Amino acid sequence: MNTINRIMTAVFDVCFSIMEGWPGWLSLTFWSSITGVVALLIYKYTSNQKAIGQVRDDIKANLLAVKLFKEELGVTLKAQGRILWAACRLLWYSLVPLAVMMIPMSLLIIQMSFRYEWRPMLPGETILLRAELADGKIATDADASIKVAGESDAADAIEVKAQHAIFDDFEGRPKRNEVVWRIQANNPGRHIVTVSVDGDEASKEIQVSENRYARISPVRAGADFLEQAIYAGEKAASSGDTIQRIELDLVNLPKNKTPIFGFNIHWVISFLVISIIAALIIKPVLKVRI
Amino acid sequence: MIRINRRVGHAHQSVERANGGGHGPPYAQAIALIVSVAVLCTTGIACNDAPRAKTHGKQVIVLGFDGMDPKLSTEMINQGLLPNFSKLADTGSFKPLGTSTPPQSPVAWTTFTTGTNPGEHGIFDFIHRDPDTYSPKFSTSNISSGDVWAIPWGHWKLPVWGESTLAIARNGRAFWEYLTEAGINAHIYRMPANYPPSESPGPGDFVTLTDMGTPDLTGSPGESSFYTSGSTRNIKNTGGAKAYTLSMKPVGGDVALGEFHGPPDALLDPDKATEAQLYEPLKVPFTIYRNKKTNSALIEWDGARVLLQAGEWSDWQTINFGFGPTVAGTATQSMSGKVRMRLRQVQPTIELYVTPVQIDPDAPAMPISIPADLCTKVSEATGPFFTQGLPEDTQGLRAGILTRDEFLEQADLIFAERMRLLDYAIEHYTDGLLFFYFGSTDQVAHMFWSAMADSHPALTPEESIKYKNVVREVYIESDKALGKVMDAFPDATIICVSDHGFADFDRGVNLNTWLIENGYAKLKPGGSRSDTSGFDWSTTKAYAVGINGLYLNMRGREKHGIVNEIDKTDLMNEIREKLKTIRDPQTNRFVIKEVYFADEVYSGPEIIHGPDMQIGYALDYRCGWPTALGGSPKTMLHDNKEAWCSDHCIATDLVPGVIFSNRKVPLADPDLEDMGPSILAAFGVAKPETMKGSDVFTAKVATAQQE
Repeated sequence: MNTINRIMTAVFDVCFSIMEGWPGWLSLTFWSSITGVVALLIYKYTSNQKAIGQVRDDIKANLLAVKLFKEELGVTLKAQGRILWAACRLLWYSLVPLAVMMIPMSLLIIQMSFRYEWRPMLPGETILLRAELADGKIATDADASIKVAGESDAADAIEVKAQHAIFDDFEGRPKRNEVVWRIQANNPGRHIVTVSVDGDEASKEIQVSENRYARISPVRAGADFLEQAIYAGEKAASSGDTIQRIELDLVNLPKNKTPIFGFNIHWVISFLVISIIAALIIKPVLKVRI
Repeated sequence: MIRINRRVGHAHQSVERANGGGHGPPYAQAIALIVSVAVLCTTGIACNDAPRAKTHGKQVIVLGFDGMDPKLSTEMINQGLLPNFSKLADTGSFKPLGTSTPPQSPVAWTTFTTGTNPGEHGIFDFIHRDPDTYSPKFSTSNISSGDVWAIPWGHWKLPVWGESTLAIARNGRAFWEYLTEAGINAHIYRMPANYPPSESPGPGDFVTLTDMGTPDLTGSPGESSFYTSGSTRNIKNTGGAKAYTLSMKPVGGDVALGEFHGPPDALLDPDKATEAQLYEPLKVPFTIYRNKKTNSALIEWDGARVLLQAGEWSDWQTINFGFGPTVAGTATQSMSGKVRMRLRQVQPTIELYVTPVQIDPDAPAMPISIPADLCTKVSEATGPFFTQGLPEDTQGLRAGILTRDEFLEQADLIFAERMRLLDYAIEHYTDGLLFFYFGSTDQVAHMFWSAMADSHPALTPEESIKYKNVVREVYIESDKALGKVMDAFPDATIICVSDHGFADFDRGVNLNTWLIENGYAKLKPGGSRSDTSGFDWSTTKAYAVGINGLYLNMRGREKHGIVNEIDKTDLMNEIREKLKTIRDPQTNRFVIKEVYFADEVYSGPEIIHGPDMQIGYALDYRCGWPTALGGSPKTMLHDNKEAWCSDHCIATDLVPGVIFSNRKVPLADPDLEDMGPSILAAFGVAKPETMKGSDVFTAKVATAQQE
């Protein structure tokens, strides 16, 4: 998973670097439109266009029958039944393209979320950084530390304002071993902080930027596969590591906003709507039946 | 490049600019520009909140500094500590400004707002009384329950149509309504006694954000919370701060459980829920994990967490209170509040202070601005802020859940927020009227003014020395705010006003106790002394509710009134005569300087609803706290040992406010009532008949011409 994540992140970093100076709404519109067109092409070449065409013709014929024989209850019901069956067949013919597109589309949305879901920290802002330890590992405050590891980083690029370790919860609630730091971002840049607990080290990337569409990585995943797929921005921990998940406080991590023509809607909705519109516009040109 | 939003004074500004300005290669910017222009041209849809064109119209800026005192201002100007106020005084004028009777902020600012006296605008005190129940009530807003059609759902009622309405109690129009009607823009930031906000008729552009009178999310004027794993015995009950005991898990362990308290569930059906349920606050449980080694605590609730070292303030934190019917144990409705916390200590006991839960400006549960989303835009631009009016937690300091130093830390946070709001106001102002209000000059003075005196019962000599310059420092910061406005608008007419001055509050006077001792009021056998419920109304002729108000128990007005109209004047004269002879046995000084009869100092239709007499206390005296709520403790006079050591609710002539302007103020004795007409005149708008005041800027010229 780490290899796929690394490749995808590198590819998308290159793609997005072209649009670095673009307004958020424009880059989102661009990506959504491209996605819509590419998805349409994938659909064209992975679906049975001939069969889909026949089903579409069936639907049209039966809709005509409903209109012409609306006085005849039997004919109308039969035509409606055929329309329903045709819809099911359409769904069936969509399964292959959907299966083909599912993984690349998920990877795309995951990568886009690192730009459009949250914004990077701004210089002067603070946030909690939380490191979860593997079961059976106990942190002590004296052992826990954090340092900035980037080559060009000033020592105070990320400043630790407070540190806290929780060794346990009380009876009746799940055990927890974690260390929490409150850090302050001082300088812009993509910083690597090294978290050190009980002699083990792990790194976490922290993006500080005034460009609100710079890529961020909210979580450095633990050994869980699904989490590794969702938080693909960094190399994940392996099951034997002492330090597992490291996360920026997701509740307080600043959300990004990408207003489209004045409407402040969630970027995923904008993405879906624009990609569908783009696909519908280009459909006659590419001669795709959906 | 296209800029989506104008932002100032905060780090967010740079984000917006970065988006718009871009750091990308030139070809990318060129493509973006072409595409964006094309898209906007074809769609015809422009991005919202774009800056309006400047009209280069007249600029009049009024800064309100609550409680700014003329004597202290003069002293500090002479010492060279207020260079910007001094500049105004040199180029224009600096004079005392006559205040309202009584000199209380809601009364005075409503007089300023309407240009009328309390007999017209109907605000006579912070606290009025209900003549049917004799109970105290807040003066500046009214809740009326209209027709509501609701669907029953278990213990709840879901309103489908109609709602209760919250309305401002002030009568008469605000002066800015005449301005906007005449096409002049009016930007009114944090106007006191203006909650809930109401629209101002166009065509002029109007925005407003409320202040004094705006409640916290629970509906109270501001109720802070103090959580401790130790004892709460030393916490005083002031009605504005509550103490809660944390439950330690295990006993003596490092995990503590508590609950944030919100408002009661407003959807509960009064017919089905019990009395206790109706008043039970909504609660959000939280857990504190303390770490004695690092002297820190992690506080977690509802997926959110904050990490604090002992002695630190948190940033703004959001708490969502679920209410209404529940589905699978989860509330179907929620309202959002914001708090800041201060971890006082983690050992030997945990102590956590939490500010009153603010109406969340990002998702306001009650209206606090016009337009409704102004508060959200301000929050996005400047960060979340105290939405409650007069947010300095004076009640927390009185109760002992904040120390004087902690109070000052909070006051600094509030002032910094206010300065960021001022930046926002400056950035969004082009012409017309800009009003901007600072309450810190009043709230800090209430707690520290007397540190400038030789001695005070509430302050040790060490404290007096330590805090001697606190009020002066607030004045110096206020001067910097003025400087910022003067630099931004060098050609504007700038006016600084305060609603009253300040004085020491050494001794409390319990007026109801005096009325009882002198036979004007009587308690029922065993009647409560804490409020008006203990009075025997069949024999009580006069009673006091509010800070300065004294009411006669009038037949036909009060529910159990016994005083006939024909006896009213004689009774009032008799009471006035006696009140003015009260001497303090400790100092042999007169306690009351003046007693004002309503019909002598007011005119207008609202007189009948206000107190019959207003008590003008002498310097160093003020009504005791129990009197304000109708209480009658056993002692008539007592030392004021409260942290609230200074006040202004005394005789009107003892605490005038100030007027500074870069224009000459020829009027000999300018008054708050003159301000509305003066601002209207500055824009060439005629004053309405209800305003009796004069234009302070031209009055003398007009008089000379007449002569």
